[in-house]
Amino acid sequence: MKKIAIILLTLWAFTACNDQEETPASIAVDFSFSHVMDGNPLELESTTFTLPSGEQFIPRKFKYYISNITFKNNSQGTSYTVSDGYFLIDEAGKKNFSVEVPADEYDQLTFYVGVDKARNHSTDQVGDLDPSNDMAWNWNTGYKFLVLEGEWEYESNERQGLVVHIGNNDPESEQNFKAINIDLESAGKTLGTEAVVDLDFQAELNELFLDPHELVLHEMENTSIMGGEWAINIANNYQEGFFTLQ
Amino acid sequence: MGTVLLCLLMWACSREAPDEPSTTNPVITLEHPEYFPNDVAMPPDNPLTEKGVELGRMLFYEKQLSIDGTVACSSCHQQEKAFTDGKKISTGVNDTPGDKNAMSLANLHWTSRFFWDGRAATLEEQAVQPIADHREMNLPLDEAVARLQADNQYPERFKVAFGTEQITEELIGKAIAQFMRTLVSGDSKFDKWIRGEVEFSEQEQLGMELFFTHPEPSLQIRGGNCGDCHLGFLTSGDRNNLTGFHNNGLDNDQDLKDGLADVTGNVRDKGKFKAPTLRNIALTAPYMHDGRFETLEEVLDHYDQHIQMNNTLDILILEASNEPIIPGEDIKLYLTDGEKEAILSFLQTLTDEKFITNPKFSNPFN
Repeated sequence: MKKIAIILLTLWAFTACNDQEETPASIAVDFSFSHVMDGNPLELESTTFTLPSGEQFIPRKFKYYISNITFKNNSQGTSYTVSDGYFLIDEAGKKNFSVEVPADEYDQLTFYVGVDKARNHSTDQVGDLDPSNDMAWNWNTGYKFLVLEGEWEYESNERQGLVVHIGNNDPESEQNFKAINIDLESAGKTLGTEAVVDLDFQAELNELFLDPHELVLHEMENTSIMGGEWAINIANNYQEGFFTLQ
Repeated sequence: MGTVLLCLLMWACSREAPDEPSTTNPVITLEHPEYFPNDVAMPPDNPLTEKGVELGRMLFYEKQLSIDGTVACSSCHQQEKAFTDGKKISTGVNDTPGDKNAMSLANLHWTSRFFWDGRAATLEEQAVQPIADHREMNLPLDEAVARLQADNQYPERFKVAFGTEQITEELIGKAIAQFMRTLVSGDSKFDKWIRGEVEFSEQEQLGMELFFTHPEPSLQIRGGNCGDCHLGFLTSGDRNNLTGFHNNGLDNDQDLKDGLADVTGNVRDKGKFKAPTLRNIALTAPYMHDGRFETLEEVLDHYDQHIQMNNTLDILILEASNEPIIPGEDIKLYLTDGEKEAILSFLQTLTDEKFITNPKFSNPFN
């Protein structure tokens, strides 16, 4: 009898450790990002791509911040915003992260490329906002939201640099801090029934150079783009059609 | 019986029973300013331990680790010089000249890929190479092991630190790496400024802003372009893979040394060298991988006026100027004298007196 009790109790002990006995109160959403150029996987420092406007381009750095993630349930009118979530996506480093959201039927997702005003101008921060991550400009100008660097050539052997450092969310306008809206429902990714959901995004870098603003490097006076009109154009380009949910 | 069952139940629910804390050799945490990155893991196979660090410190200062017993790691890495040696090119046993300038040792836990050319992927790997290098300590590693094994105290010390008296190259590397990781420099004036304990002078403040800013003349943003390679609070190179290596325009293509290309075999890496930390930079002259510049003024003049164009010049240098860039013209930053002085005064704030006098880092045999 004692033996049976021990066996039963031991069995109970093991099942008690099993996490799947109740409906979870939250959903773990795993974001992952992959990057392509003209449909081909992005390779840093090793592969020559051709830009939409015809220049030969060797990328060497590509990274950006994702922040202010909000899930919405349009039919119920409810929503959940991930608090204090700033995630650096780096082609040479980490390309995924996870967030926990309360269980709900979400059909819309919004996230921003960049860092909001609340956190942009104090670069003495830790984690993904650590200034050692090569994304802090300085204390006055804040963070770079998106960085693309590489070398390009056009019809000659003259090597030139493309340096795209986009930041700026000055108080008068949101400028380059851009919301990306994803219709989860139409992508067949409505949340709500699963405890763990994978959202795999692909970013097409050609879109940074096209639509609505076409970027022709060899016609530009300066290909180090760190603000001003061209930075705004590129920010508009990444707002539309840059990310797709796979 | 009830107690046994309860214990069983509790044990069954805990995935990992905590290790018994060793009373003889406690694991220690690396103390560092909270604004240093907290997400850099300790190597799981070489956690910091009290006795490991202690042993590593002895080995760092141990002259038996050179062929003729005349030099130790500490010969080229002297605490009062922020663990450099003040020489253009370091010399090993018998004054054999090397071909590189001794690098400062500070905050190594937050760096990756060691040596100027990045040939060591871990600090453990780096730690033993100068022992065997014929230009440095010139002692074959099996001989180093034999000498320590025959010593009257090292076998016992390895046993306490690593649980075995059987000394190996790997354990020598682990111990020295543990000590080197404790060389944390985080109490300079810059640190005190970050922590809000002191104010910067106007000149230091301007210097810091210039240091961290990439110039953009079209937006009237002036910058010294230092922070593009010497990142953030650590002022050291990027930790990601080999991105912390740069070609900083020291030579034209004809004279360019291989640097990182020696290690990767990639021609695009020719002339790239590790961006070192600039912490304690005022103490670590002369500068660059070959010690070619004696003063920080010369270093700044190089970046401002004397960049040599070559095929692998870093594009962040290629595309940096405080004046509009004219294609085909030399690359210059066009800093004013006042701006250069401001950057120099900021660099002085990186000196950490506590670091160079901390008794925990000094020679234990004295």
